[in-house]
Amino acid sequence: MAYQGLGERPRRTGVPLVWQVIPPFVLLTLGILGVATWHAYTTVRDFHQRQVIQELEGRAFLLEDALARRLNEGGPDALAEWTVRLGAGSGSRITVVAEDGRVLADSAVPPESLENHRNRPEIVAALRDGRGASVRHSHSMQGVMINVAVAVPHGEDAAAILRLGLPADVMQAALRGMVRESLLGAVAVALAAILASLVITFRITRPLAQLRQGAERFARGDLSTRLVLPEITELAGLANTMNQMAQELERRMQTIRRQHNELDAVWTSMNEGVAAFDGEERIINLNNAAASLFDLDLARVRGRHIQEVIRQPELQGLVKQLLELRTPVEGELTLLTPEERHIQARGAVLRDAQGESIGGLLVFSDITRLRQLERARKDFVANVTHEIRTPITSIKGYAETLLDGALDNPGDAARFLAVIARQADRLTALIDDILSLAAIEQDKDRRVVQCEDAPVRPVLETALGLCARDAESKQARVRIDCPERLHGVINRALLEQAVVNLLGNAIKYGPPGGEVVLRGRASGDKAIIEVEDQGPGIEAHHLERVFERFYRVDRARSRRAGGTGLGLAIVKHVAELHSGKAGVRSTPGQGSVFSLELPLAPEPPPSS
Amino acid sequence: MRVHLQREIDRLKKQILHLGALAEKSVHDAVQALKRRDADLAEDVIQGDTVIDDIEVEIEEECQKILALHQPVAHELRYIIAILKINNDLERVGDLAVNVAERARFLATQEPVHMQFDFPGMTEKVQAMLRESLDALVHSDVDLAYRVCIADDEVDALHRQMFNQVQDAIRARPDQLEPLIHLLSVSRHLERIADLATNIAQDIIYMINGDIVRHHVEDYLQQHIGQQP
Repeated sequence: MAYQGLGERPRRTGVPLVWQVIPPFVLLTLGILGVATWHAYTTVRDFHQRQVIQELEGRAFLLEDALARRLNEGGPDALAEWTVRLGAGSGSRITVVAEDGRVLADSAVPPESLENHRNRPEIVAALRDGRGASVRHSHSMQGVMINVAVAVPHGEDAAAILRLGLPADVMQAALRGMVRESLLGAVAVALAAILASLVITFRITRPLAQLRQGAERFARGDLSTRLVLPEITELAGLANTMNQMAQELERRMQTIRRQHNELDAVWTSMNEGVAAFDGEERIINLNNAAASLFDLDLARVRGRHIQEVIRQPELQGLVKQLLELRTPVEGELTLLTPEERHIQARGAVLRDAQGESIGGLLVFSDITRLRQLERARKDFVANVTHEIRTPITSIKGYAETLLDGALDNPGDAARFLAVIARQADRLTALIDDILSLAAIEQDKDRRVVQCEDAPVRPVLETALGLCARDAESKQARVRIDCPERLHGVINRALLEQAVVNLLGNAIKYGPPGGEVVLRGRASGDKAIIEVEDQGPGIEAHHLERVFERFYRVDRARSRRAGGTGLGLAIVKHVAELHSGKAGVRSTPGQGSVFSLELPLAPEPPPSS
Repeated sequence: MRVHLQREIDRLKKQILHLGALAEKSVHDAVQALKRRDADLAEDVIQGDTVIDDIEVEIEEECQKILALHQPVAHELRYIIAILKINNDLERVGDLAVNVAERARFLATQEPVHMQFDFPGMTEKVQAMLRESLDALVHSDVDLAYRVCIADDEVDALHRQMFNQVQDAIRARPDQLEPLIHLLSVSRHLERIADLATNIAQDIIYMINGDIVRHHVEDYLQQHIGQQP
């Protein structure tokens, strides 16, 4: 049976079963029939011949004496007459042959036309043994004759041969008829044999074909149907085994599918990005997290070189290192697009089931936030240390100066101590603000700020009251422009703090005698508080940085005015705690407007 | 033999993309150093240029070897030639990034200069052009390459604008002459980087179409995208 590769369409190869069954079967039956026919033919023919020979021998015995008398007494004419008469009467051919072979008389043909019979087999046998028989073709009779020759002694030493013959063709005709009938029978038998073979092979090949179809279904992956058991025991055994095989396969495939699904779930839901690549630095697979990290389309990226897909030099270097050294690697990358992100990458060698290295695996964690927090902390600590150190250096300096002898000078002493007191106040203010900011930030992280529906105007009035003294000392004119009915969803204490900071800035940086407006208004779904001053204004490129901690537009002026650097940062955080925004508009030379956007609450019904 | 040649070409492609990534990073870091007035970052860029130079030499030698050993023809020959030219362009991009970094290093020591100039806009456009020219290389995208060629005009216009603004600023604040001159240099370097990105795009068009469009880009643009130059 020719072997064909897996996956090819099944062809009919080899020799079909019918061709293996019918010819031998038919040949066998025909052969047996042929042998039987031939055997019958020869047996019957031989039997017939023997019978005829026996018959002729009998007739010869009966005629011996008559012939002897004729030979002794009569002449050739009498012999001829006797021969012909008896030949005709008995229905057989009678020939009388002399010892030397001359034909003396013959009942069928004139003796003169016959040649010497000395060499005829039956004559030879008769001369030798007294009797002989033969079956042979006869020229004179033009057919096969069965001859019996008997030696008939006459006289003293003379003997003549009496030969009797009967044609064999009667039997031949009958036998030929028998053979013909046999042949017809053989054809019929052959047809029957073919038919029988077809039926038998069909009964085998049909269940086999069904089994084959079942096996093809299994091969295609359809393991759900089971084979029907055929009637033939051996085939049923085969079908049974195939069913078991299908069941086992199905079980294993389910296990594999389950494991694959589990792995897939892990692969897809991981927060970290994972990338697998082969020894040629081509991407084998990426999980979803990695695809979104590097903004890649997984379908288009599989099989491409890493250099084509992620143009990040450190990453490419890590990949090369991992493949060359075959040891775990670790590194940090900075991704530039769409925004700057820091990624920590750890790599390990990828091995197949036999433990051979087939590439590498990289795991990415996004540590951007971590780095941001670290940087913010570093910045904050640096800033705070600097801010705290300045007044303390001042205090220390002046204290030491006093101890060194300035105490003796009351004027200087008073002045220096005033400075020390001022610096101490500044430190206190700074520390208060830091704690304030920290508390607000913590609240923001835990979102535990209680806001309620309250009127805005009282907050502004309270803030004004808190800043009254500073306003007076700078002769600043502060007025409130806010409807009584304006309500917001607010936390009074925090909002007061923020407004105080804004108002304090406006007073501090405004010109002496300048006007400050505390405005409250509704706009859309927001309640907006604005603090407008007539100070020097802020240049455009500072505007967005002004709310940062410790950001100073002009260091010198800010320090003189006594700011902590945290006021606006606090305002911003308070705004965010209210789910709102802090903003600023300013034109250099024409003052600034700081604004707080808060959620608007519906106005109360008109009350008495 | 063919398989061998293909492998060599693959390796070459990986190397040139690596060089491209390094050049992109250099430009990005130089711009960042300028923006953030970070002298250390600027120093890193300047030091890192030796790597770019070394890789450029490697790639050139690799190309020579391939040409000598395999004697490629037709498409592959154009490919190798294009890689040689892009290699050269990328190395010059690296050098220009170093120039920008040197200016950034100097400017970090000076008082910040106030100008109304849209520097972020220009740096963003230039970096985008560089990035897209490398994307076009990766994906063999002729249309993208053509678009990069078109974008060069905008950058040239920005540079001319910058020139005028620096002139005005010098007149207004003569005491800031030195930093303003350095800023003008930076603008010129950026404009040169954009030109090189255009060169790379043209090399890619050559590689794919076999057309050398260097001196009649407008005609080709009209033919291919139907845009007014």
